[in-house]
Amino acid sequence: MIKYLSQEQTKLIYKSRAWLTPLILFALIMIAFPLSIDLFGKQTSDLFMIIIVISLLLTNYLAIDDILLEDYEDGSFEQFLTQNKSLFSSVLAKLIILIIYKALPLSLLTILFASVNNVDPFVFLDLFLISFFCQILFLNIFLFGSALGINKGGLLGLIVVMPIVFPVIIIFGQSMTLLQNNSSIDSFLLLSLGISFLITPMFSYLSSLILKMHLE
Amino acid sequence: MSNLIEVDNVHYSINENNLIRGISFGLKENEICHIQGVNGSGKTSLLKIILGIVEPTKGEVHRKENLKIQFHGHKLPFKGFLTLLQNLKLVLSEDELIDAQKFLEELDLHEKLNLRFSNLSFGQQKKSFFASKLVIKNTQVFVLDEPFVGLDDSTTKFFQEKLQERVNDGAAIIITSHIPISMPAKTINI
Repeated sequence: MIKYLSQEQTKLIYKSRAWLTPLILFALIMIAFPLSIDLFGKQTSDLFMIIIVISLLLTNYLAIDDILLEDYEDGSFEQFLTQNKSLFSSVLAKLIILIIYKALPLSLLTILFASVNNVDPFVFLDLFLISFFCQILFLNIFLFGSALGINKGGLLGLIVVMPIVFPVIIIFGQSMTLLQNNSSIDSFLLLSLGISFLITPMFSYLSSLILKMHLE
Repeated sequence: MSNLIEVDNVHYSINENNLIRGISFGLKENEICHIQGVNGSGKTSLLKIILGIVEPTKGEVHRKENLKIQFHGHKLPFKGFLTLLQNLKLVLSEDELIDAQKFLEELDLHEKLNLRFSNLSFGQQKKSFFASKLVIKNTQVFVLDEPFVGLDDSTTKFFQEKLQERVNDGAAIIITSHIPISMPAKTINI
């Protein structure tokens, strides 16, 4: 598994557009969207938390768009199967590296934007955690969608997973609102942590099974 | 000597088109098996069945337990955004990397090691990927799908000599090639 992680890390580091584009898009949305509502920023503090969830949704979709497609098209997955290597480990490694190199920096960026939007510093840690767990769920769901629609175009995968994405947007949007109203969301964070640990291997396994079927 | 791979009465149909009808053969150590057929006759499908990527419609393929196979298909899985050296480091051990560098020197590609893979010509990409497959130690079977397409005559001859050396050392080869091969091989027509 460590070898797979190291391979995926090397690939991601040298493929600058893969990690830079989502970060830039996130920054653009976080800057441009509030400006489109209110140039002087009077109303944006009320909407700030909701904008985070939508920004994370878009950037994570973009981040995962071709994560499987490249290895599928260039025959890397075929090589995995012929050498009796675990497709599941490869997919899980891709997801873990994405979480470390994309979800983590984006969560830190969230705190940066929160600090310039007059969000109470007391909630920074909760905000960091909630955006981090929200991204783990998005990445898992989009990975699954990417595997489903790998040879049919990315949009099909997105449409198929939309019914799963909507509840995540609603639940995390609501929890952001609670956080903004200074309500405690500790139990929700614990639940999110548990779900993240559970679904990351589960969705990686399901995605690897789907990939194998596509390769056949 | 027992077979490394045993193909037993394999049939394969796709979209109600019977591509492969009852192919049987065995592959032993030091043996080369040349699969021949016209375009669309199912050569690549047969290789994928042998590799276990695709299930046959009927029949079975038996592979020796823990068989070490290297597959060179139509696709080149090296990443265009990495250099040739970085790509080699991803797939080879340290010993194999040293061998690969010697190999690339023979092919006049050692100066290209620090170039992005996407900046190499198709022939250079193919040569370097083929070389990376040939240096992998303990390989028992090489499965090669049209490996000489895009290579010039001298490089084709060079690779055939290297393949023959591996066969002499105990490996076996299953190959499809429209380009004539000089290695002694048993022919399977499909």
